[in-house]
Amino acid sequence: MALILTAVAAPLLTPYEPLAVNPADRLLPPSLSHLFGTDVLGRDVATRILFGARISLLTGLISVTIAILIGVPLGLVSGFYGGLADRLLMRLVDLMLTFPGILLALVIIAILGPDLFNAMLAVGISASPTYGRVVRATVLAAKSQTYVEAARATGCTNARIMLRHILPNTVAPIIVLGTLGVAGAIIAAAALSYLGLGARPPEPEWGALLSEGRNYLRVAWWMTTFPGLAIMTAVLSINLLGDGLRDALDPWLRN
Amino acid sequence: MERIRRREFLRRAGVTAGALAASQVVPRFANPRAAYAQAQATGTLTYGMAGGFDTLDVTTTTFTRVGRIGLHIVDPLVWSTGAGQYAPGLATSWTISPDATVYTFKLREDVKFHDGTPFNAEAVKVTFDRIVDPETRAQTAFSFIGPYDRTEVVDRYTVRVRFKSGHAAFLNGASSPYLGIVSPTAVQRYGRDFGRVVFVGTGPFMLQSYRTDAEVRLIRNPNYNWGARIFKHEGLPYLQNIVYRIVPEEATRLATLETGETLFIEDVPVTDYQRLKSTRDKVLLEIPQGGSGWSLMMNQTRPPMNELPLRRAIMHAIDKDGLVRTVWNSIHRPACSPLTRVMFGFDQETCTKVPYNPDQARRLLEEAGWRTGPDGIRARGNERLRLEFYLQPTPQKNQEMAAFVQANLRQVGIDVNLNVLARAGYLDAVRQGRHHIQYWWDTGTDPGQMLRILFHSRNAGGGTNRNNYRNADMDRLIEQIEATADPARRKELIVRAQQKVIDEAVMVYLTDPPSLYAHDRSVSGVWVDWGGNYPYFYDTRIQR
Repeated sequence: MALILTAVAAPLLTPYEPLAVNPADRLLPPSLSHLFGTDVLGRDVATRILFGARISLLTGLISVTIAILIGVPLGLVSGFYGGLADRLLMRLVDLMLTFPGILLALVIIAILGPDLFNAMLAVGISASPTYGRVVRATVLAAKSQTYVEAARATGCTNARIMLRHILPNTVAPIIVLGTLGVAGAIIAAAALSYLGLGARPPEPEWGALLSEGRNYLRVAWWMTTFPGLAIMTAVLSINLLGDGLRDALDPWLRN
Repeated sequence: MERIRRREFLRRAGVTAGALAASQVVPRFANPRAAYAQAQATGTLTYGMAGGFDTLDVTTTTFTRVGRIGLHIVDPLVWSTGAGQYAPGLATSWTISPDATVYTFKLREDVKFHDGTPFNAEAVKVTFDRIVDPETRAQTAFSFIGPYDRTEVVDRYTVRVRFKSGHAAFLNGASSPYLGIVSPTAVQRYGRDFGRVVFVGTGPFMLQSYRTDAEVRLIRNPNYNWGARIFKHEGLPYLQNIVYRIVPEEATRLATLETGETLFIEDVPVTDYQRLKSTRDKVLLEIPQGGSGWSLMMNQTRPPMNELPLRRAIMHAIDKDGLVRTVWNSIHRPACSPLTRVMFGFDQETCTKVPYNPDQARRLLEEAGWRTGPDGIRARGNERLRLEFYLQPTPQKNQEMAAFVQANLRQVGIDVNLNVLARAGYLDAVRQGRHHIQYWWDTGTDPGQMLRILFHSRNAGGGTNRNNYRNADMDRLIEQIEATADPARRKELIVRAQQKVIDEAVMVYLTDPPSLYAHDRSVSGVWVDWGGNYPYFYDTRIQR
């Protein structure tokens, strides 16, 4: 929560501009005026991390949304209709799962070109099979429930049954998975940006910050340490949030 | 003091004694130092190179790095030993017509290419004709050869090169690796693979293998016996191999030197300059670079870059001193003109002509009708002031400077979009002129040729003049500089050219770099040309 707040309130929390260069303040170590020091162009690292939080969190959210938008309909159709559709879709999912996520993302970036939005798309697409799988499993379980038979008996169309009766059942696992997914997506996007395939300079994306600092490790440790800590903190707290949500939403654990 | 084991000592003593004896008997013909070189166990020099390149063919490349490697594979006709001073290379002597249009070279008669082809006047003709053949698409070499007309084979070992107009700097060109003589049989035989897979010259080293963007391996030419007199020894080079390993990441490249994985690196990271200078087992070579420093080319064929006030505003908006202090750790100097300070004819006055002045920049933009919008970016009618800056991802300084320039230009209301593209995509874009801005940085020793590369209209439209600046007066001025041998007159013309391109705001000059190399203390005998561009390892030895 605090994370999101700081991200939203970034301009209020810092007196500095994230992009404006300031030659006089080059490579200053952490101090009271520059909490996390400054980078080679004299930009305040703390400010850049705060503004980077917006980009990184947004990247995480958008990637997961893309993954859900692709994965959920796939899983829904596949689980509900079964048969040929199921087999085809699940083999497609298997195929995507055989590639490590980052490799798949690299391929997608190679095709679309390096750009922050393409990175989100790449991360989203490469994460989508997992959602498809989970939704399919939930749908299979829900399909045999009495209320679905009841809906069918009252003459509901397939589409209506899927959307009104089965989809709500999949929401809980999707929320849990999605929350955890945000953390993974942040890391993946940071990794892509680190490689120069995601955010473009001078966007203060966290992975890009790490990448900028890597040549200054010996002279300015703060340029890499603090963005690294920021990624770690964000991912850890989102994971904890995901764990909490699972505890709250999982009917089995509640008992 | 180095400790030498007893046996080694005896061996060395024996060799020296033997060599001395031999030199007493046949002092004119045998070379004692060559004998010493053969007897000495020779090593491998690993060289950490800052980036890849297009081809190994010196004739067609645009990369200085290719010249650095190529100089070992091809021999130049002459060697440059200082501004305007030349020593024999493959040519033993030469005469120049008073109007600098005809050069006649006497060639060495004892030289063979790596593939066995004898070196002669015909080989020189083939090499030079190939440079001007439109099929070849030569770029740097094309600029160096200037107003080339034709080469005549006078006899087997005499060659006459004719120019359409005077070309006072031809010897300078002929001393560069780019006009090095290549094997005519190999060119014929390998066609498009020449430079990509094979590359054949007469130099002290031969190409052993080449993996694109990874490694170039050279091996000593076992027949080499025609080293230039300017070097400390004759006969075979001391080294057995030179391995150029491409390590674009600068911190990694430095680490390879520090761990002993490489023995020599180029483009030492400026961040680590002080630290490296204070270590005892490494040697830092710092040479003010000849040529043209880091600069921005502004493509005049892509609107709104055709507008002079905009280009002038950009010149005023960039804080060169700040750029030097931040990105370059105060090791570069702010650039003033298209020529670096060591170049003949450099005009000191250019340093005060376009000072950093963002207010002036804003005024110029305002007068040209660019009004600041709500987001701080200027627009004129529906046209937003947004410039496409094309650059390559490495070296990382590219991106740091770009971020700096972007921030500077934003201050005056110009939005700069950075397009960071890998080499192929980058070259595609800038050759087609899709850029508004791109970097240039070039090394060289002749001002006339530097100006030709940057500003002559023959190099516009896909060549090296990516300003796409076409100006008949400038073309004439460059041609005059090239045809003028008288130093005073020449200097005057060069100064005029510098002032003209500043008055017309053709490019933005950012910083003048030094060439920074570092090597392990065990390496000795590295020769670097006076322009600081070509470390040459013919005399080099490694002592463990």
